[in-house]
Amino acid sequence: MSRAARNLSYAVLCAAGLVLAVTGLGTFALGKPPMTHWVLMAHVAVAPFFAAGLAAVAVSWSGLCRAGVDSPMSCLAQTLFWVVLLCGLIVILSGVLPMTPLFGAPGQHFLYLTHRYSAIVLTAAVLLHLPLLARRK
Amino acid sequence: MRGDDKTVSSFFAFTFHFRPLLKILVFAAAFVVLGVLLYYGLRGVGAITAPPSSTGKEGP
Repeated sequence: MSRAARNLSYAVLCAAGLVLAVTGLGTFALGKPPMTHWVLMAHVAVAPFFAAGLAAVAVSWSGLCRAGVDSPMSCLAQTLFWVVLLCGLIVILSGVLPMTPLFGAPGQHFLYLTHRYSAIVLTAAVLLHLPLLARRK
Repeated sequence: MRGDDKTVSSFFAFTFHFRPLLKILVFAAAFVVLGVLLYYGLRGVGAITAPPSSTGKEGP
């Protein structure tokens, strides 16, 4: 996978993630959850771009971040990459599973909380990962 | 919808046309990410649990 494709996929992930963090975590931090109106629609409209970016990042970066390979990335950056992927998977699944008829009200509430707190961990992991990428060998 | 004006309500209703597309796209992305995690995760487990002879290293 070319370096340009890797950087593009990560840029899409970060740009979409920024909008999602502002709309989602911003609403949570300002003390007025849950999201409603235009904020909710903006959040859901950007979500597919985040999911596509996450899948592209998973495919294009995973070869660089596997253990034992001669990678330009540090061990911490490689570990954070897998944390980002795992949290991203939990975030996108917990976001879309409540839209299915599989879960009742308690299950949907559990998924809502899972979505929120895994998104917080994901945001922290990406914020820690970005400076490490800038300093890669 | 919680006392909203008609524009917000009608636009919110319009977005439901795209909900199946959103679900398909997100589940497809989740499938790819899960595949990558399983592939490298199982390879890692295999590397840890492989007997020394298969890694090319001699035992003591």
